[in-house]
Amino acid sequence: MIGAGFFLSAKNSCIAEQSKITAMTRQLKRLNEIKKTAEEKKQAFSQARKFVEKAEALNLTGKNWAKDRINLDQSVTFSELEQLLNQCANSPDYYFNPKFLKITVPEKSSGMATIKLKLRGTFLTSLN
Amino acid sequence: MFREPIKYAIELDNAVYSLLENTLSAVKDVKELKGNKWVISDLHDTVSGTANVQAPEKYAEIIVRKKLLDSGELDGTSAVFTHWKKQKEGNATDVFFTALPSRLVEHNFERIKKDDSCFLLFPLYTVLHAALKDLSPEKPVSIMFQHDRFVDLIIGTKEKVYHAHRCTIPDQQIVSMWNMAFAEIAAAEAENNIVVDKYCLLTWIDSTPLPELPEKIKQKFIYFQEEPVMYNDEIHHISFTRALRMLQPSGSGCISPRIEKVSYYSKKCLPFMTLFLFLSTIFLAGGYFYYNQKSKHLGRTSAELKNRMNLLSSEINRTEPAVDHKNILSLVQNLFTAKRTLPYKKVINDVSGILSEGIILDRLSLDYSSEGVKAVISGKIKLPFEMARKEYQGFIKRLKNMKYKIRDDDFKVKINKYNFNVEFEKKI
Repeated sequence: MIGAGFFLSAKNSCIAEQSKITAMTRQLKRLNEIKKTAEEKKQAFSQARKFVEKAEALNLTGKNWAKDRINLDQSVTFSELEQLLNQCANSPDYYFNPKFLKITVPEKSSGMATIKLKLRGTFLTSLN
Repeated sequence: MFREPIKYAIELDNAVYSLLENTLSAVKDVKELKGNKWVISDLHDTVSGTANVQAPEKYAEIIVRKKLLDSGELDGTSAVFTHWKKQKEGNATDVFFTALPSRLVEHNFERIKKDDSCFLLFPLYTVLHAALKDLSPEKPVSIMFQHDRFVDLIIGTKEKVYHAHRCTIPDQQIVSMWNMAFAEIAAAEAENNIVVDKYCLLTWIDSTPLPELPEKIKQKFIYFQEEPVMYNDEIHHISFTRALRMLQPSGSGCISPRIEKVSYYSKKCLPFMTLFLFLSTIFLAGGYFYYNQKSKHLGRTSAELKNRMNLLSSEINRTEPAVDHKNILSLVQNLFTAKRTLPYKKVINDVSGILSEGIILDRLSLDYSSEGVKAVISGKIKLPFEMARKEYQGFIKRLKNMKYKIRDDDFKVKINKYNFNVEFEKKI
C-alpha cells in the first residue's frame, strides 16, 4: 500500500510537472509571438525616429511651417479667377496643396460676366 | 513451491494410508499427515446410491433425505452430499449421492476443524465418479472397485449415473462377492433398461485376482490404468491411486465445510500471491524511481522554460518609447502632395487647350486626394451631329494623349445640341 502510495504520488507529480511544462510551452510560444511583434514595433519606432530626426534637421516640423487654408464659395469675374488660379499654385515662397475646385458657368450672364466658384486648398509657407 | 504434490490420505476398510507421490504407507491417523491434505474416506455407515426424485434440482437433496428416512436406510437426521444430479423434463431429478448420518458429519467436521492444516474430505464414491468421468463412455460402463470384502460399483455414461451400490460379503468369498456384483449390475440393467457395455475394474493393494468367469463376462472387463505404488517395500500395480489423480484440481466433490475449502485455496494461492506482491513491489518501486527521475528531469526543463519566459518578458518590456511623428508625417505628406500634384491652372489650361470651337464648357470640378486628381467636365456642343461627334471624340483622344485616364464619358443627343459629361483622372 505504501509502495503504491509512493508510486502514485510520484506518478501524479510527474503528470503535474508535465502539464505545467505544456502550459509553460504554450505561454512561451505566445511570448515569442509578442516578442516578434514588439521587435517589429521597435523597428517601426526606430524608422519613425530616424524620419523625425531627418525631418527636424530639414526644418520639416509643424512649428516651422504656416498653414493657411483657403475656402471660397462665391461668384467671381474671369480676371479674379485668373488671379486666384495663379496664386493657388506652388511658388518659390510657398507650396499650395489643392483640395477642391468647382467652376460653373451660368447659362446667360447679364451685365459683367461672372462665374460661380468653389475652391478649397492649403498654403504651406516656411517660417524660416 | 508452486506445484506442490497433493498429499492424499485414504481411509479404507478401517485402515488409514498416506499416499505421497507413488509411496503408500499405513498411518494410525490422518493427523499424522502434516500439511494440507486430501482425505478420501469410505465413511462408515454411509449410504451411496442413485435416486430419481420428483423435485426440482435445487430441492433434490431434501427429497432424497426424506426418502432415506422413510425407507429406514438412515436413522435420525442426515446430510446428503451430491456427486451428480440432473433435472429431467418436468420436476423429476436424477441424483447420485452419498448420505451420512448427522453425527458422522459432525464427527468429521470436528476432526477437520481440529486439524491444523487444511483437510479436504472426499467420499469414496467421488473417486469412482471421477474415474467414470475420465473414461467418459458413450455406453453404460460399470466402475468396480474391489477391496477387502467389498465391491463398490457405479454404473453410468459420460452424461448420466444410473446406479451406485456397495456389495458386501461376510468373509472373503471371492466368487460369491462377484456373483453378487454381477447380480446387482443385472438388476440395474433391468431397472434402467440398459446394457452395461464394459466393467472397469479399480484395484487396491488387497484386491484379489478375478475368479474364473464365463468368457462373455471376461471379455467385458477392462482395467483402469494402473500405476506402480510402493507399499511396505513392495511395488504394487494398482489403479485406485490412479483414479485418485482424476479428482479435479479444484477439489470439486469435497464435502469439507466451505471455510476449509477457502482456506485450502488461499494457502494454495499463497505462493502466487507472494510472487504477485513481490512483482508488484518491484513494479511499484521501479515505477516510483522512473517517475521520480522523470519528474526531476521535467522540473529542470520547467525551470529552464521559466528562465526563458522571464528573459523574454524583460525583453518585451524593454520597448522603445513611441515617437510622435504624425504631425511631421502629415506635413511632409502635404508638402509632397503639393509638390507633385497638378495645380488647378494646369488642369484648366490642359482642358481649355484642347477644346475646339463649338464645344462650350458649363462646369468643371477638380477633386484632389493623396492619390491624384479626379476631374469632371460637362458642357454642350453646338455643331451638326457628325461634326459634334467628331469633335467630341477628338477631345477625348487629346485628353488621353495628355496622360489623363478617362473614367467615364457620356454623349447625349438632344434637339439641335449635344450634351457631354467626361470624368477623368491623373495620378500623382
